Amino acid sequence: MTSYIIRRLLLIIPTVFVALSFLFFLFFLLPGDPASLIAGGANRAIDQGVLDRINARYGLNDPIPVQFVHYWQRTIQWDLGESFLNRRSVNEILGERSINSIRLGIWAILIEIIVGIAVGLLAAIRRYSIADKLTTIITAGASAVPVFVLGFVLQYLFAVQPNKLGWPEWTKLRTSGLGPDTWTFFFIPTGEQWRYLILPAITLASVSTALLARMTRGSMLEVLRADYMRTARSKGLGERDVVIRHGLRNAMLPVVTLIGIDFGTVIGVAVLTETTFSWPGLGSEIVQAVGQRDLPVLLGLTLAVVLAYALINLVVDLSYAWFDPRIRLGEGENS
Amino acid sequence: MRRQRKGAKLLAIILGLSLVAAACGGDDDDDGDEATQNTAEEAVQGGEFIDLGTFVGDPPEHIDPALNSTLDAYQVVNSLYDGLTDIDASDPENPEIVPQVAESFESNDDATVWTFTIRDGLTFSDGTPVLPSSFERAWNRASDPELAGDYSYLMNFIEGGAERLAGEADTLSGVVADDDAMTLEVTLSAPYSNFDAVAGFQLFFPMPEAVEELDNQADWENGLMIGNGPFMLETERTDQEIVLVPNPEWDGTKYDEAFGLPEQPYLDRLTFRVSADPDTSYNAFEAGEGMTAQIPPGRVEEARSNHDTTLDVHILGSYHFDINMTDPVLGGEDNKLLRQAISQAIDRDEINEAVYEGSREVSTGITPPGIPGFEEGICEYCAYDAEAAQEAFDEWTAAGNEITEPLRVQYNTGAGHENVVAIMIDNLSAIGIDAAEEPIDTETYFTQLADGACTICRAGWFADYPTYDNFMYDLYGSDAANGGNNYSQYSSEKFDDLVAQAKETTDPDEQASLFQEAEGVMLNDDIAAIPLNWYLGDYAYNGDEIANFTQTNFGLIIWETVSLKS
Amino acid sequence: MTLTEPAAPGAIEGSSDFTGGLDIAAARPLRVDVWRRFKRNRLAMVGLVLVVLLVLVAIFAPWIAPYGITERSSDFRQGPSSDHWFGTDGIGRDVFSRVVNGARVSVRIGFLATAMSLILGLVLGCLGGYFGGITDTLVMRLTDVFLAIPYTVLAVAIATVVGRSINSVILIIGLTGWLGIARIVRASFLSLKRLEYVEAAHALGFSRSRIIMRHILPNALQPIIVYGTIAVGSVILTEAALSFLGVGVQEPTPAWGLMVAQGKGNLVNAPHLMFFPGAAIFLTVLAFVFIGDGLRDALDPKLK
Repeated sequence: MTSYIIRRLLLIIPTVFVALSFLFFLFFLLPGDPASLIAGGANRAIDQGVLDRINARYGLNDPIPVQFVHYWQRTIQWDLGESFLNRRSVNEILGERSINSIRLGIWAILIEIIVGIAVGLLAAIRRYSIADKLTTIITAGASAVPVFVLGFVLQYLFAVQPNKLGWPEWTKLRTSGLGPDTWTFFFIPTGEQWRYLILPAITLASVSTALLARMTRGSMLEVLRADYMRTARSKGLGERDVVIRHGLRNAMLPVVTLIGIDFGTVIGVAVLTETTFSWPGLGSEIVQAVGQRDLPVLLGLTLAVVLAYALINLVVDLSYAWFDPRIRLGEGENS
Repeated sequence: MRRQRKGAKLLAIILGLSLVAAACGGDDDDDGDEATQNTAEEAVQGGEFIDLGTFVGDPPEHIDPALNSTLDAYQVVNSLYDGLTDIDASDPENPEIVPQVAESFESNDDATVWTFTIRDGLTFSDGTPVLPSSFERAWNRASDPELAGDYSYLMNFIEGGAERLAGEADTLSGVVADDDAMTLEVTLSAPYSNFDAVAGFQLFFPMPEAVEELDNQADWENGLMIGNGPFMLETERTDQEIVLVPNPEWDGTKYDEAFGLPEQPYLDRLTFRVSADPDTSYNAFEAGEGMTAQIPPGRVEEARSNHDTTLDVHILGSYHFDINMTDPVLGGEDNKLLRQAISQAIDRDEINEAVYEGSREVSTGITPPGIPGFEEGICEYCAYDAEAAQEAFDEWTAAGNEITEPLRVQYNTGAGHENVVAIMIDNLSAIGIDAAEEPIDTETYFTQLADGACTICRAGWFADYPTYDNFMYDLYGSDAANGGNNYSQYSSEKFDDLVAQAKETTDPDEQASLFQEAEGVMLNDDIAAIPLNWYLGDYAYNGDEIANFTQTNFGLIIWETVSLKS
Repeated sequence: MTLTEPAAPGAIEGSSDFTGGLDIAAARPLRVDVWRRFKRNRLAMVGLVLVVLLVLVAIFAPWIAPYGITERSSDFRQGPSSDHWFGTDGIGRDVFSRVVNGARVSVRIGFLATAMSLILGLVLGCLGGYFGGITDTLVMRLTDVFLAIPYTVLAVAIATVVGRSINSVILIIGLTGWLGIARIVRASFLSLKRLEYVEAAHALGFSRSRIIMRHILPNALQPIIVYGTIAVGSVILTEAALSFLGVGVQEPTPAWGLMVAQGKGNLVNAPHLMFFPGAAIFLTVLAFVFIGDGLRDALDPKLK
């Protein structure tokens, strides 16, 4: 077990190195002169002197391999550099943004797990019932609406409309921003805070909740027919015990996989939700960094996302062993 | 200066205007008047103001006067600092440069040496005095090649600026500060009669001694930057918001009475909140989360009918298309008829109605109203006249010319220009001119244009500082071709001479007529550009809660005069 | 939750059981009775009818649409009327004609992008799963790397390098969509190649390519078919997301996602701008999901 974990942790190193090196070189393939874009070249022609000074400041005149080496020398000391665009320390930007991403992500995942698994289980247990059919249709429908459309509709229904109708303040949810920063235990919104969190969290969770419900239903149906379930039933256990003690645990394997993947996407690519609700997380900043050629921000924030993704995957894989003791870790990998 | 907004990312900026007079005296022909009068009657209230309409799209890159180059962040910079001069736009027909932190200023006869006398008794928010050396310090800093702000090239105006920017000198040789006599003497590298306007630009704002204590000058804006303006930072900026509170050291009554400034800003706190998307900003505004919003594209009518707006204010910017004068089909004297046909074929009213819902003003020239020397109706071929366009085109064809492949109408993607171009192409095809759109990525668009890629290309320009020169020399002077902002690659000796003459002329009327003549040469004799419209304000605000919310012609909100209604 | 949600992007190491309970070992080659079972699923049939309709509209778009895609009238942002069934857009173009022509764009993007990721995923998954060893390690590390990089970064980068067009959207989705497929295929291979009939084929001296093509691939294909079907629909959602981020197709191409993204602000004053292309996306995605579900049940007799 320990050696497996160590091996997996070591494997993260080449993944991170390849991913970031790939992005580093990709950056220099992008059309457009970075110095010009830093100086506002997306809007006008830039004075050559200004370009020269920016190039000198950020060492953009050096041969790319030299810049590459410099980049890694800095990065291994956890110095992520200075944003080309606003000259803030990327470590600081990462600190602010990742906290926002994690808080939003935790709640989206919680909604996903609670609602998704509950609905999926219910549909599986009551197969062919109206509830099951509704679940099938609603979950399919929920994953067929562009996320930003859902976001704007929610904003209109739960924030704009109550305000126009003059409803009391507490009935209004918030459309944008982080809120007053009144968190308890890091992630529990207190006081006003929940009104800021709820719409983005629901929006971010919508599609994955639908998928998880479908997955849970499918997985559960499979398990319910399995031989060991029949054995359990024949032993005279009640249906509820059978489902919960034996079924659920076995059905969780693919479900956990999906949740693991969602953790990665929540942190990395929640761009649409972040943009729609002006929630300053990692995803939107990374996308902007590519567009504006802010190399240090792009690489610094992506580094965090790649690391988080790899670690979460490790946890997911470890949890397999808990859900299904038949799985021996380390097997099936690279075999 | 750039306007950092998703809908209209354009070049932008402007001089800091802190004259309330502009707010009260101007706009006498529209409903803004009513609001203004109400304000005077109601008791002004302090309180907390949340702005959602300034930072839409991205958080501001910079709020350091030496680094900022966007109009949006200038709203903050201008609240944190006061400059040597400002613009008195109380008569919008005839805006005037007046001293602010300077008590007075004068230049020698050929406009090469300027002397500013600084007011006594002004202080920064840390209590230290504002002295001539504060400006010297700021200018040496802004021209530091290490800092390399987007606008640092403006220091080339000053003698020794080029050397300083190249890292060959430690200070600007043309600046002499005498703190005893309270004078600042500036020697320019070339005669420039509008330097008083430039001197009020953010790059030339003063800096306190505290700035020298920093190891990394770039950190100034990331901490509690100290300024001499009506507001100061309450907390360090984040990507989500910038929070300002009144600067207790500031006293508006120390400036000339003509400014009409209060002793202290009315607002107790001013929060600029960043919205990632214009529609989010607007929804948040409608949900009562803030008091202002930027009007998103396609929702102008909605905003106009439900809220108060600043749509009646002229912003010093032009939206136009340039024509490449070196293009074999379009350029040159021989093809003037074709250029005339194109310009006359375009229905500017329809574009304004369809794309902008009337939120722009159809233009009759490049230089917008509000610029000293502005004259209405300079352009002869800017009015929609399909018949005249048809005639001109037929005449051009009869002379043996033909369009072999569709004329390319270029624009930068993702900024809402595609619909304008669609209508233009439709208009052109109506008189038989074959044209096709050529979208180019924003990241490389202007670089390509500067390098001569323009055929018929969209351009936009907001004044860096309010001078006629900034629209003529910077956009159509032959010095600005090949790498500059002269995308037409327009090169006319007559035009260049007129502009050069105007720059040296100190008499405003004479200067104005020279500039107007130059613009006429470019637009009518040569037809190097197709003006489409001038910008108007784009804030929506809640008039029930806010008193005296006015956007100046220069795009700025004078935050120290904004107050809340009880 | 994110940009595209093509079902589960794939299983993590060792688990192949993520297509909602399809047991690969027990899967049998496609047969006629698959169709019989499929037919019995009412939702799947509804989906099939919708997709046939979509394809027909795409084929006959120029004849169905009353106006051209760039043809303008002087009515801007007008609601539905007898002249303009779906109303007009910001510069007076007929929304109905644009939605109808948009079917072509969507069909093209949906099928080509899915095909591209299927091919990439199949090839790489086969390589890894069949050959194992260093090949497998390389393939799996490659998918790891690409799964870890937020794919919006790649989307913006690709769009910037090749320019915004239908093809760039296909390329973006194709190049980022293969990861899940490669993992599914690899996992199938790992379990299939140990089966007796494959070992028998080895013993009989059949060539590797023959074994892969004739014996393993057909069986590994079944989860892929389900996955791919659902992916066609979700690709169209991705197109909308890319347009929202400003890296989707280029005006005046009438892509549904682009129309929705442009109309997002007009929820109140001109809802038809978003509603009609949005409904087209909704129905299309739904149709492919239902077909995918139907196929899964039909392909797996155990579920009966």
